[in-house]
Amino acid sequence: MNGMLNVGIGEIAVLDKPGKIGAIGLGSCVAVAMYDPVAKVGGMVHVLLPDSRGQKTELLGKFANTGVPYLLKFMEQKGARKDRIIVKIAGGASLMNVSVGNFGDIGKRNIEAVKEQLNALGLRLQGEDTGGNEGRTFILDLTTGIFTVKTARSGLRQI
Amino acid sequence: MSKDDLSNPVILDVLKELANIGTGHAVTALSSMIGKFVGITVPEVYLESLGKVANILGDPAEEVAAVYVGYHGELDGGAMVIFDASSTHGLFQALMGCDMDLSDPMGLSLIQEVGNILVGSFVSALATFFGNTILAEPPGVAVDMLGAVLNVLLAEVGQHADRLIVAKTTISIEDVNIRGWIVDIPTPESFKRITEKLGL
Repeated sequence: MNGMLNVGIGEIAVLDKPGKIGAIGLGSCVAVAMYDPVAKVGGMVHVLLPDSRGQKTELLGKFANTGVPYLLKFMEQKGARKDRIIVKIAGGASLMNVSVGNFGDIGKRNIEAVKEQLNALGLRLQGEDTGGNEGRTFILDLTTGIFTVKTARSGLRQI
Repeated sequence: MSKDDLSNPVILDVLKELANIGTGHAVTALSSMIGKFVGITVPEVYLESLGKVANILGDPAEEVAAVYVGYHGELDGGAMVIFDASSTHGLFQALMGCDMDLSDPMGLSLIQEVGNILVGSFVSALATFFGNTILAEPPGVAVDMLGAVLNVLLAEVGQHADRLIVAKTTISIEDVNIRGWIVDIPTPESFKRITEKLGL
């Protein structure tokens, strides 16, 4: 997508100038978007799995328990303030109805794990488009502060 | 596992050979079912970061029809057959003699069947190679964005690794204009175990 900062699986990105930031093709993955409307700083993490269980990873965004705290940290480093941050999440679908490893419904586990992390960090979730059986693309527009979800079949919506 | 282990070209060659055996069996099975010649390219192998695997296949937002099978045993991992959704009409014509739609349950179940045959025989070829110690899980099917359908495979194999070894084979069917791939991603840790066993 033109002019959009694309956040791949396991990646974390923070933008402090006008533009869009997004995660394309979320299935069971969950993307967490944070936006500080005053500092005009926005960021996103593209989470693949709920819990690192102590293992080391170079991809800080891969797990909910590493990705969400690091996203907040990077947001604050760019001037965002925790009490102003708006948090919305999308993803966690079950496209194929198959069990993954020890996780069972991995999409559902990802949603739960992300919410646990937000809770623990004292961040309030202000919008979500999660679950179901459709893939999503999740975009945060820093110019307008609008969070958009696109799907292959049911179209486009703001959350 | 250190990075160097996976970067070893021998490891990638072994994966390429395995994918060759697997896809050979897979297309033979499909070919005898549909009575048409099914062709494959030499498998391409990649060592790629989790976040970039979708880009090996195309645009993560592109709509595809995919069938997934996870497998466990001597080798752990997942294999997937992926068809470009807009090109499945040729497949329907060839198989049913009429056009169908992926939103039609019949169309979807036909894709699932073709996918099952391909991925199922791929995995059973691996099992034969390793002495019947690989169990395939029940398959899943979905029509959605490429990036989204790949999530389940990456979640399965990406738990302990940031970089993955990926084998991609392009399949073609005589008289049918279809874009399709068979993708195999073993977990790097189980693959390393196997190459060590082979004395590599």
